[in-house]
Amino acid sequence: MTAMVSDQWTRELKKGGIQLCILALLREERKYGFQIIKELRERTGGFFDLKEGTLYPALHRLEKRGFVVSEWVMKGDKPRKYYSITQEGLRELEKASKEWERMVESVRGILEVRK
Amino acid sequence: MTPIERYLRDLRLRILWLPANVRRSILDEVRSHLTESARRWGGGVMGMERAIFEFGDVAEVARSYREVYEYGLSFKVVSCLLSLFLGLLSLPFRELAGSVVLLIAILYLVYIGLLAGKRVGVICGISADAGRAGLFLYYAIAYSDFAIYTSAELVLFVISLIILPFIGYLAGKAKERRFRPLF
Repeated sequence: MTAMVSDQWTRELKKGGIQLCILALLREERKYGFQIIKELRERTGGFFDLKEGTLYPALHRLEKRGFVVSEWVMKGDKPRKYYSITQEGLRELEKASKEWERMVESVRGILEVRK
Repeated sequence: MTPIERYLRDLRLRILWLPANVRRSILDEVRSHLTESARRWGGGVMGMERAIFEFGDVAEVARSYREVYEYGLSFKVVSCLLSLFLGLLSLPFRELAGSVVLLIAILYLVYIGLLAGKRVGVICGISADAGRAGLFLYYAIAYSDFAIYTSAELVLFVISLIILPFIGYLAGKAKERRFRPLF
């Protein structure tokens, strides 16, 4: 029971952070799917270790909302779809980052008092 | 057929009802990813199988895409026509056959709402209503000299017209709550 609660809690936590992380990665430069998955895994110490097939629907959702745009680029003879953040995406990232910081500070305040 | 082609075929079948341009875009992107992934895993059948494993179960992937995109026009038209047909067949409901078909229509609306969401659920409910109301009016006009329905049946009929779109709506709402996207 304890393990199930932990998995569910972790999943809910990841729900909040993943979109923020994807937008933040795209703010640096345009990236394609593999790059995003690799960087998410490496730069979060494995916390965001996505099943590859779940990233693309997420990117499509962001694109549908106008936060990212995509384009096909030929790398040699191989086509790759690159994603870039839009102005709307940058605004959303800024808002979400502030909320995230606020949440982290608030939770930290509670946890430190408990200690 | 290679494992990747099989995977793409399965994915295509599961997103068949999405708009054609969306479907093409998804399949092109997944093909590109799996091809590159298979190369990274050493190529050949083993590389492809590993790439597919890392990508994820095709049913889950398809569901994630369906969550992002609404179903295409052809799906909505076919669903509405089927609902209309079931609505037609569900009258007169005083006979067992009509009641059974009404139950099937209700189950179908639940299925469509769970599959495609509130809006499609409501539209299909209204289509079923149109079928029922159309046939009801036909009988009322054709047999206007006879009281073919009792008062209780008329009341039940009106209630059913209200309930059918509501069932589609509730099923769509349940879908939203059950399948909240990860992001």
